[in-house]
Amino acid sequence: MVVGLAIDKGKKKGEIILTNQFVNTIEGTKEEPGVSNYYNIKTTGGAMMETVKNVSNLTDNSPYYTHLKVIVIGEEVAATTNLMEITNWFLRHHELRRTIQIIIAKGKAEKILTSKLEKRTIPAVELWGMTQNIRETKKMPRFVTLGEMGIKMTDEMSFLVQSVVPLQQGLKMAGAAVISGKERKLIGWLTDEEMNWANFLVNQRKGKEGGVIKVLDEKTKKPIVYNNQNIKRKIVVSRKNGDLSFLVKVYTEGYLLEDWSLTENSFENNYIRTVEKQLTAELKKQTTSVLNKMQKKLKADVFGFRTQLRIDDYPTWKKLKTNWDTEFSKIPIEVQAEVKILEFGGKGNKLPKR
Amino acid sequence: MSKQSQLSEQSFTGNLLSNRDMIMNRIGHNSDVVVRDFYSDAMGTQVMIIYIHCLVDKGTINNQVIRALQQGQAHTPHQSAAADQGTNPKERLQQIIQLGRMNAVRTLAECIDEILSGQTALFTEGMEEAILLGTCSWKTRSIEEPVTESVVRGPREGFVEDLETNVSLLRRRIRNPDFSMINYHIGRQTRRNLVIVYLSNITNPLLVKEVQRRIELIDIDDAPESGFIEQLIEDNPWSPFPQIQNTERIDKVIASLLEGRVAILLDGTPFVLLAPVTFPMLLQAPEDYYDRWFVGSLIRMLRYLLVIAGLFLPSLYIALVSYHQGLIPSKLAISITSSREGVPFPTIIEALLMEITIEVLREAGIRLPKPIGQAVGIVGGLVIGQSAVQAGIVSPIMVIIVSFTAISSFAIPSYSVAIAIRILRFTMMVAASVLGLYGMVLALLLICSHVVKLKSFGVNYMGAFVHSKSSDWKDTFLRLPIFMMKRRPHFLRAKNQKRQS
Repeated sequence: MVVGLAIDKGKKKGEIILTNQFVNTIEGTKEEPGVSNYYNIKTTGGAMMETVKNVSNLTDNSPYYTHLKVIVIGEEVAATTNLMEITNWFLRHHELRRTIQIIIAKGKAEKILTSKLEKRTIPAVELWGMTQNIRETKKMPRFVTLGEMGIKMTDEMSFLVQSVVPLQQGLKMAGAAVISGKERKLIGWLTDEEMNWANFLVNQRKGKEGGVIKVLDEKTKKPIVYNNQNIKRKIVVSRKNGDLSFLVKVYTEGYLLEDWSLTENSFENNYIRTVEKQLTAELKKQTTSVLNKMQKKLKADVFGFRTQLRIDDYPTWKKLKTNWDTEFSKIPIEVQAEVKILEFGGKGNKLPKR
Repeated sequence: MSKQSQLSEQSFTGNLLSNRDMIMNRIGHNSDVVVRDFYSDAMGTQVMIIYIHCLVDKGTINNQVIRALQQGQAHTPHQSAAADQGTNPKERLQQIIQLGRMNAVRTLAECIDEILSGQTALFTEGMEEAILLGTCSWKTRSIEEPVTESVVRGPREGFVEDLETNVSLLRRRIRNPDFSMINYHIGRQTRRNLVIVYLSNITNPLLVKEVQRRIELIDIDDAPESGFIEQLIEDNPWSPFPQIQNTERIDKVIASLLEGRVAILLDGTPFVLLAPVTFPMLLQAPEDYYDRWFVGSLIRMLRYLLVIAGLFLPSLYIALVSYHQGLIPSKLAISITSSREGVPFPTIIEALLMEITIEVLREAGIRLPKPIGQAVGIVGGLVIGQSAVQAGIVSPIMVIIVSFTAISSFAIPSYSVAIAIRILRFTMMVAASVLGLYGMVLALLLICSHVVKLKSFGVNYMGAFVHSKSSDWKDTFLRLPIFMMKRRPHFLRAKNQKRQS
């Protein structure tokens, strides 16, 4: 039973190194400590199918993929090989589900599956659990499944993939890898800090809640933390004198859940409004900067502007679609942010009333 | 056969001695036959009584028969006057003997039949008839709670082996002139009593006629239990499903009679047959109706679930583990495979092994003497289960599945349905091991096609699930409040549909 796959580049040209992470089921019957609950088998080959078949030469358990959870693609492979070619076998074979999660590793993918975890769980299963945490944190993009990836690559749509780095002990979800829709290759990274803001720009069905915005109080310079509960994002396409431009309206509502400043008085509406204003300014600043990076540096539309344009202005879209990502980088975009504090929890001020 | 007909033609003469010879020729070789010849003062003639002493109540014979005949004159002086007037001796006997049940027979065959069932034959000089006196008495078991059909709430009385007691139990609760009985003697050698009971103002007469027809066709040496009758009159003897219900509970029989069904009572067994029956009926327990309807409905739905579990659970496990591992959630799949690691058998062998062990325990539990039975059950169940897992012969999950299935089959109120499910479970398991889920579907289709055409006394066995009459649904999966169930089950075609207003 294979729960995780890691794909790396071999030494020879075009060679693939595949690491299969098997569940060690014998562990269940043995009670001795120290028996690992997984084992990895590494094979090489020129194509995926061939590489997979080589596994049978190394173990009596032929790989069984219906319970495969994650495919980790190494940085090197993702940056140099067309991902559509590499995932072809995965999408074709009936044993592999379309719901398998794709993750791009910084550095070697194999290291992810061999990393030591304090919990002593199977790294692939642990990793799979981490990919689901979008509701808790905004510092990673929503997971991408094999099926979604197939659709997006066919559609030449750029997208974000969760990325992971191995730590001394354990793993860390570290922002996102940006995959270009045109080249179907890894073209850059977003740090987890950048991802925190990028998530406000992505229209997603799930994972609208979670994530925090932190600002410093103007007077006391103490942190104030806002916990997002819901994001509403809207893109408005406008054409003035034939010039295409976008307006992104980001609206978020949530709770004011931490405030270190002593002078705080959340019972006062005025105070809440000032904090809201501060948060709005921060949100606008940061999202604009992420947007700029995507537009100018990476030149990839991962936020779904293309979809809105297709809906609102199909003739223009038709003209631009062949080279959308480059066209996208030239279009001016304005961000309009709004933060709404719904409530402030169980404590509103710290000092007694005078 | 010729001897039989000869006997039935033989009739009594007025001569006491020849009558005596006729009877003693047939039953005289038995040591328990008592013949008493004496002069009756009351009658003024020689009389003779014949009975079998282990079947009669000696007190009755001594006090009501012999004493009355001998001392009749002293006690009832006006009787002698009547005797002198030369009235019919039969009428005189009626007045002398203080017994409720007396009737006269002319032929030897009838007479012997009654003597053998505990009556006393009385002959008087010059009378060409035998007077049969109802002196039957024998030991019967006391009325107890049925062991196989106990309830938390509800009457605790069950039928006993004695037919008369059983009929009396029914009579006492249905005070209705329409309560009808048809008597039969079953058994060429034993001539057991059998009674068909129904309510003539409710039950469809065609149904009664059909039951009568089938009973009349029985020609067998003996029917020691109502199971014989059931097997001889059921519609399809090749079906695993019971087509006639059996019960020890009085309230169940009464409820069925009031639905318009027919009960068949046989002497010598507490099990009463109820016909016709449909599958949902077999899953109804009396408590469904005694408890409030929420409870009844929920428990009934649970029972349907358990029937499904009892039929499919082991086979589903086999199919999933040996063919469709991908359908199991990953974490469960991991724990199943690790628990199966080291088990040397394929799942089907493992499952059969455990199922057979359970069946053995169950069978042995019935045969074992009661005090040991429980101990063996615990030892067998726990020790075998535990050690089989530790020895690595079966996986713990298999033990869980097999034991859950076994327990769920006990939750089915009808033991015969539970057995049918048990048999079919093995079919499903084999099908699952050969073709996986596909095989299970095929086997299920086979079972469905059989069950759909199955009938019990003209009533579709599974009809309640497909009948156009929606009122029948009120008492199928759910048990709706009593005030909503105004009509009898439609499919029984009762004469009188309304049950309450």
